[in-house]
Amino acid sequence: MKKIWLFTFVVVILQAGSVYTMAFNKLSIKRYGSPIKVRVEPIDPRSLFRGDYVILRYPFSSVKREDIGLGKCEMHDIKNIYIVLKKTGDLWEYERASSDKPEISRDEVFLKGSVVSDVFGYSNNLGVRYGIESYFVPEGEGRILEKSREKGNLAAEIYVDSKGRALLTGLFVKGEKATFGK
Amino acid sequence: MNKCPISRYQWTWLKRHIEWWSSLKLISGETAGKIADLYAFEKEVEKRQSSVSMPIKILTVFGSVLVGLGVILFISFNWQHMSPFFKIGTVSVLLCFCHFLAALFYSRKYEKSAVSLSLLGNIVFGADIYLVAQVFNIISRFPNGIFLWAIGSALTAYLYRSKTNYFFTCALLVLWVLGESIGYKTANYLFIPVLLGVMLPLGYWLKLKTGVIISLFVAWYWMIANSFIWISSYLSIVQMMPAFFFGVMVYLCAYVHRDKENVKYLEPYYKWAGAAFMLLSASAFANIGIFEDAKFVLNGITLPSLISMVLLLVCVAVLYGRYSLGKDKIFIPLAVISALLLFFLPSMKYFKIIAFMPVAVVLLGFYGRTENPVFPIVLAFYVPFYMLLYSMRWESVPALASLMVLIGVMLYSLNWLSFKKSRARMAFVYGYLGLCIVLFVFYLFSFNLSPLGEYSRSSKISFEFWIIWGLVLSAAAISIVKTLGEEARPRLFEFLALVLGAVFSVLMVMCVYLKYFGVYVSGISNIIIVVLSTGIIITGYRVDKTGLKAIGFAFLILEIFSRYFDAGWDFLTRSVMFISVGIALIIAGVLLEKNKEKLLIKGGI
Repeated sequence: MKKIWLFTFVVVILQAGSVYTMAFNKLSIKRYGSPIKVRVEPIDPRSLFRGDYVILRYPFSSVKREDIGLGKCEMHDIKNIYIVLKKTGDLWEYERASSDKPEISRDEVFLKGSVVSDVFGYSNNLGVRYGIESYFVPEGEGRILEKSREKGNLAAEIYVDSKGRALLTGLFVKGEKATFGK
Repeated sequence: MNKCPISRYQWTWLKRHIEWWSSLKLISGETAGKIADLYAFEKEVEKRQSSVSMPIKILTVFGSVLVGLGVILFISFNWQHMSPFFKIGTVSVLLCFCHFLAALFYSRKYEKSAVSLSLLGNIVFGADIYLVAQVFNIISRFPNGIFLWAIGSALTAYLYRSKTNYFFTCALLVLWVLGESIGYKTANYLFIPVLLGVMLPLGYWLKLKTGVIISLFVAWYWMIANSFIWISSYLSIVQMMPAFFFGVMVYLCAYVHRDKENVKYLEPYYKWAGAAFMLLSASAFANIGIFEDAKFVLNGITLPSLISMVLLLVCVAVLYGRYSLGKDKIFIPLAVISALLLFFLPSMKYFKIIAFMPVAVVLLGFYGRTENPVFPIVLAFYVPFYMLLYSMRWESVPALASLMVLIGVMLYSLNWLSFKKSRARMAFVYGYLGLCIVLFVFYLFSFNLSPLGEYSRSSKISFEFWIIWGLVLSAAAISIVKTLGEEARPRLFEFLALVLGAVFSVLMVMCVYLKYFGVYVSGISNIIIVVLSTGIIITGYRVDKTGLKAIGFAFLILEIFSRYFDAGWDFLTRSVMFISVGIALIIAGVLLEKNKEKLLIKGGI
């Protein structure tokens, strides 16, 4: 009977531990990374179980095939892609992309993304995800962000660490940090 | 002297203890024999015992799922008022509470309640994972979260030797494989160690035939998904080849099990699964032919697909050479050659006809060998499916629905006609399949589809449709009339339902021309679904058929839930409702388990 308690303890440690590892892994990006602001567009504000969330699309969510040296209709097995952002005024803009870890200058940062679409070369662009494509807001407030998209004045604050990992920490509407649930 | 009837489990326990008492010299050999003579194993007792155990399992598992869902909803809807770590902390405390309470229940011998609580712990673990995703605004690669969830759940399946947690793990792993293949289009090679290290070993260890079959089925799906990922270019019949050869390999693996005593029970299941995979892959060859842009492309084969095909064929050859296969000695090469023939098709000209060849070979080969009725029944599944796919070109929902209802009505009539021919096993499957098709069509139409009239106006129905519809209607009418024969007379309720089904399907097809009729379809469908499923439940209880009861309850619950979500979604506090109903169900389950012994004694078991 002692076995059951011991194993339960192990199960709890492993389950809870894995959750906290995930949390601290993300927190480390905020601790060691630097914040940047990028232009963003919300797409679809809805989530059944988690209040509202907006799916965000960045100007660099799709990368031209030629930017990473791929021809049209050329098949590839590229899993990860690195995009370099350069500071232009208040915002950071897409500069270039590569399939290998890039060399960057002082006013540049790079993001690591996963290629999620068009492996077979049907279109001219590759779909890329960076893990910063969703932002959760209280129920019913996602629509406000969608309206801001129409006016094109929405920006996202993301933290980027030296490995190119990103963490989305906030949204800005007309340069002001958006607050919800008040 | 009458012997006392006991279940198989009780009989094994008694035999073991009599041996133990004898070894301790508490009783003599003669007394041991006399005690054993007092009891007899009876299947009926087992059935009565499971009639008490099953509700406990259903109540506690359903309760756990509801509580888990309620917790996720409660935290989600109030998340703006909580700090991130408070949220994660709360759910983590709940996670510990559930697992340790499960351990406490287990140590007090309330095993079913313990398993349900550990399942609740696993659901809360999932909630924790998704809370972290929510707090840090990440949904990057969501299948990773599901994978982590599944591995955590597998630990409890091992800990409690729990079938429920094992199936929960399997369901999560299925979602993971689906998510990786559909959402990310990656080959997901991590699945191979998961299949060989978690899914199959746990299935064997828990002696779960269904578990092993589910694992094999997921592996087959993985082969199919990967075929599309591995092979470039257009939709091609070549894409089904690895999945077909996988089916042949699984089929031959049955012989590996035949020679080992402790896993011998799995031999027929491997054969069924292997033949089903072959058949499903071969059916896909034929169905691809329906699409006009399907092309036969050999130059699209990539290295991974070639490696997989060669590896599978080598496995097939080794297994084929190693075991004595009896009648399969001819069946297997015929199946493989018929599939390989597709490689050498010179053009698309006769594609549709030749693509049916592997289907025919597998069906006839297996049916001829086993004479088991399940494979003709597969055709009963396949024909409506093929027809559905084929008839999609008519782009008329009511016409399609009318056709499907008629097929369902015809199959249900065949159920009674098969009884006449004393082929009861086939009869049940025809009956259940027919019922499910009819109920599903009405369920689809039970939603308020106001644009239905509009939609049907713009649809086009060809002459070809009317020929097929006329044929199916005639077949359904003949089958219904035939059921009035001497030996195969169905119950009055069933006969009326069949006639009404046929009449309604005729009305449904009229939607195409009477545009306003479409408005009433959802109301009528709701009434039909409630009446039909209630009737099925009552019939199920009267004739004591679990299948009928299950189908009736499933569609009635689905209907109630759907209408609840339609009408009351925005007005009711879902989280509180789920949690309270869930807790009530768990308490009912625990109380039932506590009083199980009394109930068994009361029931004379």
